[in-house]
Amino acid sequence: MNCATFQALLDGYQKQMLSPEQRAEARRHLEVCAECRWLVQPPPALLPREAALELTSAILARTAGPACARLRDLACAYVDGDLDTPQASLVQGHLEHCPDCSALVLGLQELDAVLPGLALVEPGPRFTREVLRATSRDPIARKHPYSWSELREFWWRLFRRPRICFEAAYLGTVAGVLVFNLPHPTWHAGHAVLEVAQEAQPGSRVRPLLQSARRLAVAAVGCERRGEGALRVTVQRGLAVVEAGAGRQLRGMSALWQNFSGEMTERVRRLKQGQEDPSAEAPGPE
Amino acid sequence: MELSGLLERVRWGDELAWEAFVRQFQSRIFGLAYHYVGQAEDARDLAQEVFIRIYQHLDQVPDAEGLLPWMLRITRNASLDHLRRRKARPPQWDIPVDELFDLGAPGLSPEEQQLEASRRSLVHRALQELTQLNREIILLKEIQGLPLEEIAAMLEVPLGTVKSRSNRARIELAQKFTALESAGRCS
Repeated sequence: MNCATFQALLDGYQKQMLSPEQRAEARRHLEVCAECRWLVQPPPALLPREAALELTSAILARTAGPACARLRDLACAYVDGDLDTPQASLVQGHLEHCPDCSALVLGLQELDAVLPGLALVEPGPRFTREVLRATSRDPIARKHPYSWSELREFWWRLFRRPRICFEAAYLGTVAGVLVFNLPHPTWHAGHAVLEVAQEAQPGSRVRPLLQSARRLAVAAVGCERRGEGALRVTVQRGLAVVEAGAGRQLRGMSALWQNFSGEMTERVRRLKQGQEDPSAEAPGPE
Repeated sequence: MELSGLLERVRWGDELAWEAFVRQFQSRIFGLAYHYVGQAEDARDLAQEVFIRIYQHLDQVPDAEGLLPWMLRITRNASLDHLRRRKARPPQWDIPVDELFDLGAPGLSPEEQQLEASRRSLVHRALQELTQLNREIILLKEIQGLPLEEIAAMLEVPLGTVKSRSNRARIELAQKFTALESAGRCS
């Protein structure tokens, strides 16, 4: 085997991947060739370890300075395993040559092991008994198991179910339409008229007004629903007169009805002739 | 039992749940008070005071997630009040090893407990030499395991300060700890 052949097989020789024959030939070549022997067994270090360390320190002192400060910046991340591999290997390299930093990292690792254990310190066997004795003098006001918070939680759980949620939304919408679409003022006025009529004793002088008042209230609601704004305003004004009259405790009810009837007739006539502005203010109680 | 269920039962007035609650948290509350005030007897009184306060204000107890930070905050405030009353800002950490030994975690052999107590004593002494802010950061972050945001809110300092101080405090503690360790070996 010559030098060129040996150097071609050098990698396989060092990894012990050659066949026994090739290996024997390579050994024979090494015995006679000093140059190839040097390739396989590098000469011993030219500087002893201490001298090498000293030289490194001297070079660093005259260039970037010692890397210990940089290591202190990275030591916690190194101990926590937060550094990427290249950075961690650089830190490892420094630690192999710097006893101070190595001791610091060992200290950090030891603290990591000790500190979490300091969170729990047993206060002694009597502690629980003493706390319970101190608090038993003032018993907790026992709440009903189905407290407000539990009910609230129950409803929240219920509303997380889609079907319940949709049904609740549907019912809520219907209720909203019913409540907010009703013509409140008209309803209020109509209700007042009905109340007046219902409070009247049978045979009293307002009894004859009952049917008319009911018809009036129904007409007002009907106008509201059909969107007949102008007529609704007129009817509302008429009802406002009746409502004002209800506060007079039924006194002079017949005269009031005549007054109301006349007022309504006149307003409807003006409205039809276009002489009245429906948006005008309603008259005050008479 | 899960903490949320336990809390709900405590709020209902179940004495057994309250007892379980006290047992579950007493070591942690006592531990923090102990690290602050440095004396076991004072720490016991403080921990009792904290539990009585919690008991009297059960309606203010937060849900399970926020419970521990809330309790630790109460303990810290009570400890600082105690230190102010004692008119001695830095706690006295010079605790005899045998006292720590008594307080050591169960389940270890006597030799291991002795070794553990000795290491704890060194850590206590190293903690004593830190500045107050660094010591509190170590207590709350490394020992109690609170998140940085909680610590910033508790100490009323910016989050960035806690972040930057956190590593510095660890390094400082490690340096003091190794120095004490090597001094102990030499003596």
